[in-house]
Amino acid sequence: MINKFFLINFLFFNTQAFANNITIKVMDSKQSKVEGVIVYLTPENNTLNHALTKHPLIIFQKNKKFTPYIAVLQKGQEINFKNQDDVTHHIYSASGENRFDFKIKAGEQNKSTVITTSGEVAMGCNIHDWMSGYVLAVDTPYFDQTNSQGLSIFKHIPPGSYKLTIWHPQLETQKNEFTKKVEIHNNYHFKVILPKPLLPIPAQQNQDEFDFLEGY
Amino acid sequence: MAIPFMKSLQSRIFILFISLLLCVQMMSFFSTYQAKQKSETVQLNNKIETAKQVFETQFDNRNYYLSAFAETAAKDYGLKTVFSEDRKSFLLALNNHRKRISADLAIAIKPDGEISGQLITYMKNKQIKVKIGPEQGQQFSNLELFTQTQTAELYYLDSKIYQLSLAPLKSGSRVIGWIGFGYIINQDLANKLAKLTGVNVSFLLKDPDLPTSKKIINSNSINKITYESKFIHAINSGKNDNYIISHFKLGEIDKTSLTALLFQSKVSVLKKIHDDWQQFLIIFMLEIILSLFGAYLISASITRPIKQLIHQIKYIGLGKYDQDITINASQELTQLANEFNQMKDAVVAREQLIRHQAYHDSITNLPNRNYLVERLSKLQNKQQNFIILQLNIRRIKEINDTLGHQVGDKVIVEFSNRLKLFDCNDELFHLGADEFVLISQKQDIKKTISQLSISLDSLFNHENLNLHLQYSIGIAKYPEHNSENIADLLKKTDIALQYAKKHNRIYQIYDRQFDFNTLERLHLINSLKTAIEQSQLVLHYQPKVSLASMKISHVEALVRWEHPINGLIPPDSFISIAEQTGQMDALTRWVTKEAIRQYLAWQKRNINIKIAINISAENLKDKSYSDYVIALKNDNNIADNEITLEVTEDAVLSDPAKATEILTYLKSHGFKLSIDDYGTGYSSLAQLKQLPVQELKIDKSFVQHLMQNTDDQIIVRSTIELAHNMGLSVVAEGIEDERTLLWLKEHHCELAQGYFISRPIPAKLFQTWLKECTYTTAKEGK
Repeated sequence: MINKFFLINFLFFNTQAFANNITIKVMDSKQSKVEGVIVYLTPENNTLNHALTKHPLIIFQKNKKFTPYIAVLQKGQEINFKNQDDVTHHIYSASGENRFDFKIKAGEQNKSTVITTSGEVAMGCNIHDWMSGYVLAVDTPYFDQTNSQGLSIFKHIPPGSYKLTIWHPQLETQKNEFTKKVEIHNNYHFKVILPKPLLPIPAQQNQDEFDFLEGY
Repeated sequence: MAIPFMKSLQSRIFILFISLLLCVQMMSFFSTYQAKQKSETVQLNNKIETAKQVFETQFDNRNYYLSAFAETAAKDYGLKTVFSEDRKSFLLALNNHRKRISADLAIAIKPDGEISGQLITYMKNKQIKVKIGPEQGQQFSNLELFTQTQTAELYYLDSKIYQLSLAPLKSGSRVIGWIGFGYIINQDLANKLAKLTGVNVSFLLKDPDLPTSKKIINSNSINKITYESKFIHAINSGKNDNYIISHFKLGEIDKTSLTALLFQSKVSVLKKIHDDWQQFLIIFMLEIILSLFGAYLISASITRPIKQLIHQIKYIGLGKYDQDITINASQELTQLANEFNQMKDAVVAREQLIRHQAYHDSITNLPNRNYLVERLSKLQNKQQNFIILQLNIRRIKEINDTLGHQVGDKVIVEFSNRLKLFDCNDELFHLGADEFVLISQKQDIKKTISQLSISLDSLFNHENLNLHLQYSIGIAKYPEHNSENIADLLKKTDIALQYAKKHNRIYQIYDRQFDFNTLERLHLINSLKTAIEQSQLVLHYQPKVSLASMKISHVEALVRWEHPINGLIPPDSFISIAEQTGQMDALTRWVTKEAIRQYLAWQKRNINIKIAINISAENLKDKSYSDYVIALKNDNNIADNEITLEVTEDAVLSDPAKATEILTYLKSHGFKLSIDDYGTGYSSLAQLKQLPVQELKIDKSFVQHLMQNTDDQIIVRSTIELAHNMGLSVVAEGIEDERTLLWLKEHHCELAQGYFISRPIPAKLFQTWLKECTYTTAKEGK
């Protein structure tokens, strides 16, 4: 279906570098680089032993926003929520298997959350409706988020068949993702053109004028 | 009856007032009615408009309420947390929310569209119960419509219509599902809205392409009328004028649309107007009755003075001028009355003038004939004796013609003045022109006339011209000459006057003898024609003696009228009538025919007598009579000179040339021609000489007293001699004694005719007379 409707180009760069260093550039249909999308490679033959990323993913609550808005982690990795605001937040995730909720007071942090199931974690704050953040839990250690140049660079990827997945909550595709099988044997540079542009990321901003709070 | 009624002024004013009032009433009535109707309609429209606004507000409020609540509920963390947990917990939480706003429908939908929870309410034992909806576990159709709009949309479930608003259930910004709440649109709602708005409310769920609705929900009618769906459709389409409607679309379900219909029957308005109308009508009728009464009073007050006026004018119309018209009324009518009074005075003055003019002559200012007639009537009543003198100024026409009418009038005035001075006891009247009448008590007529002559006979001097006032007087006496009608006296004086004038006398007293020529003439004129036709005329024959032989040789045929009533009428009386009325020709022809018939009859009996016929001027105007008598002569083979035609001098003198021509013509055909009544006319011998006549007939006035009058003897003798010298024979008529006969014979007169010989006698007697007379006839053998 996707192949049929959207043009996807894999461009092979002619390089003589050492094997299995992969560079993926994500662009939209207007040839603009797309920053901040999650890119990960899942081995087809899942016999590989995925090494667990040890360090926790830190998500700040600052200015009544989730920062970063979007993040990726490996299944089993823990998230460390750090409240840098001067108000209490009630962080929750109400969908899927990775449901949790807790209150976190001003200046405190919470390390209790471990994501055990791969998939999307849509987070919100029950106190501040506008706050919204996403964490994607993947079942692979090869994941990245495109930089300001729209690039994701993977090193030391063992050769083999992979499913390349590009994910973003504002990518208007099935499950907000875009997948492609790729064979990795050498160093490759991929250029991925998304079939659809990203929707604007909702501003995590209070739409009402709670100016009176500033005095507290 | 209707038309005289309409002609009365009072009725007209009355009707005018009533008509005007009726018009005003009707107009005010209808304008009120219309205004009422209009205002009611406007009110109704306003009501519908208000109802629409109320309805929309109510409906929008429900929408807002639903969407706001769904929004709020979706943010409820408890609900959010149980959404992904066990269904039972979630449904309880959902129902908990539903209850808060008494929603009729609560629904939860997974992002993939599967209805994870559906709760609907129903009534059981008058209690609201909740049950799982039939669509739970199924796909929610048309999710996009609901999720894209904030407001509530219509939702059709289990044959029920709901207003449903969905709100997203989010985890952060990730939509993890939808929850929604709905209110049912049912009759309760319709009733509630109807109660709020005061108009009928209907909901129609209808495919625009189909005539019938999928579903109709009606409020309980305000009028307790159950509306059929057909009826609702008619109202909705605006086909029923008896309703004011407002309809608007509430939304769509699939392809059908839900329309709200607000309507109010105009009947209720009209009923109100009808109720008011009866009240109006009563007021209207009251006003009409008052108007009638008022109009009657007004019309009566206007016409009352007019009626008074009419009454008084009628009185004056009868000729009673003694009273002035007085009315107490408006300025105009008072003025009219004054005008009438002035008119009346003018009429009186004019009437007096006319009366004066009617009874007085304009020239002399003397009482006239009308006055005289009245006066005579009065005198008659007094049983007094008096005489009437009718005076006529002679030759006034000549004065008018020669000196002018002004002088003529002066003469008349002078004459009247003299009469006025004559005797103040006598009454003087001026009948007009030159005729005057005096009524005098004096009985001595001769003395009166001689006294009058003294007064009148002096000369009248006009511009050094001395005029002698000549006059004639006709006199009648009362009671001597009175007949049934006093006015006849005037006729009698007139007849006497005419007689006096004719005979050149100064005066003449009336005599009955005079009347014949006047009064009975008229009857004769009319009956002469029938007399000729019916042979009332007869011929008498007067013999003529041939003096030389003393034989009866000729007769003169003389016409007589044996009138069936008046007896024998002498020819003098009717011949002049025949002449004046153009019947002379016919008369002469009759005489001629009869005379010739008699002549022939005698010839048959060997009585050889020549016959003489009188012809008139009429017969000499053309040849028609000549041809007639010539034809008679020829047809009967009568010898020449057997018939003598006698013609008077005057007849010839009127047109001598023509007469000469005709006479010559007659003579040439063997007629003997004789000049009749010779000596009375003015013909000269020179003229006579021209005429082709053979005989002269000396008028009897010269002969009758021949023996006593030597002058007549001279005239007769010289006439005979003269005639003989001119070759004419002579006939003498009017011989009344033997001496005259002998004298004439001695003087060689040829023929003699007169009473001495014989009166004119009828033909039958004539034969007898012939046998017995001393004369011989020309009959052979005697």
